[in-house]
Amino acid sequence: MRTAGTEMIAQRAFRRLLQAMSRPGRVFALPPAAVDGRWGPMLTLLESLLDHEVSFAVIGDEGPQGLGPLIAERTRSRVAPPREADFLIVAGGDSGGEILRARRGTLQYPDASATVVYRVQSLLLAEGNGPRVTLSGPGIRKEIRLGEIRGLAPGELGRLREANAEFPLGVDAVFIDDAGRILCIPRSTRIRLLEG
Amino acid sequence: MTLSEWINRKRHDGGAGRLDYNYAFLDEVSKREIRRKILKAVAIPGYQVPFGSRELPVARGWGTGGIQITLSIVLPEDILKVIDQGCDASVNAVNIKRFVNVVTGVQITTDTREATLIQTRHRIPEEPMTERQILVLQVPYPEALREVEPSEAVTRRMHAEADYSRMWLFLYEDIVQFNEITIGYRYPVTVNGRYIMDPSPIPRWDIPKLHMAETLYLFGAGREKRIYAIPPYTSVVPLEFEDYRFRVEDFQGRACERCGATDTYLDEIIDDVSGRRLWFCSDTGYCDKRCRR
Repeated sequence: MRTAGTEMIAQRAFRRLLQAMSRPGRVFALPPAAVDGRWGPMLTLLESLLDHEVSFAVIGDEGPQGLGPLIAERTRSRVAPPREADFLIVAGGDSGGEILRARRGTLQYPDASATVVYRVQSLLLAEGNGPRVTLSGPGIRKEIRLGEIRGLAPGELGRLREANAEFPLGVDAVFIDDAGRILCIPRSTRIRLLEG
Repeated sequence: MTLSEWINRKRHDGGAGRLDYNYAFLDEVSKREIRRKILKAVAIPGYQVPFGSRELPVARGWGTGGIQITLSIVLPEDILKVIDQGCDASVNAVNIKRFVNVVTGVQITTDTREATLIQTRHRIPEEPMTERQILVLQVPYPEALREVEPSEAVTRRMHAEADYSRMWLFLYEDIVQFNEITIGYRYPVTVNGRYIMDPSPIPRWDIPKLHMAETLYLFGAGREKRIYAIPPYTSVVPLEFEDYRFRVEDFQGRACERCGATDTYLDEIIDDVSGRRLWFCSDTGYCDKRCRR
């Protein structure tokens, strides 16, 4: 059901997502969700992007009451196997290695690749407790130290790095927390995992 | 009801823009597709993402690529500036801003510093832009390699393989013939060390503004159905040889007839009456601002 103002919320959500994708590693806030419940921020984000022309797969979903049916209902997007999906929704912050098998595009059409959306508990600006990871590349002035991503499986950033080792092939990652904060790591970002 | 009443009808629910269209004119499915393509363009700097260009109440070739990007991202609280060849008052610029204003209720400005969203053809404003702004360029020919290769299938393969030897050969032949690189506009640049990109028909003067800029640049070609981008803080290097460097236009000894500026991109105008050559700032918003000082 579309309600008055849904399109405006989608437009606002996308603008923030665009800011986040063009400034990797920085945390931005989505507009307040149009829907209540734990999936509110995720659905707000997906409603600005998904429709019947694209497909999605949910990894780590929690059965019939989980995220998949909600996304299908609200966006009219099709369910597809993770290896074929345009959007890979990682519901629990752990892809179990699926992102390594996701579509990375072809050299002629690198855009024919998956976008990965991780739902995490919280994105914090505070450094120190976070993963010892620095990011550099387009959108980042020099280098940025990644803040804490609570609820992201250890090793997931390493996998993302592996999936994006052959630019321009790769996947673009969006992290979204339960408070509607987002952070992006597109394939153009170099991920450096620090020792120790 | 008169025509102007109909055009100016506002929404009852307090939302911005006209009642009888979706917000920002395009339907939601169109906007979602354009948004997905914009995201890919940002993630793969300089790469041309194909998109399904929509019909607009403007002919293709009049900025529809830029308009579709603008409509897919514009918010009611944005302050919009539209320029054409540096001018805020040209027919193309005025019509585009009136259209976007009618379908979104967005505020309009001619001041670069005040604008949050700028759509442009042929120029990047003289005043430096910041992180909070987005520049949308209208692009007629998105393919930088078209000069050396007419086939889209072949240029796509050349980009895939980063095989740009024919572009370098083109520059070399230019130098052999004229003893310098003579490309005046659409000067090819390398983005993020990977793709050769057409920066749209901006003068060479504006090319250095793209390198490691604070601002996000989005490029839309409506007729050619391509979207591409330069994110902020991205390396943008014009093609050049060590002994034949890229250089911008030389306006040494010239000044704007109106504001006296000597550090801006100038247009040459021949006075109808006297036949004299005159020079004026191409960026009229900036020129006006200097005149008011």
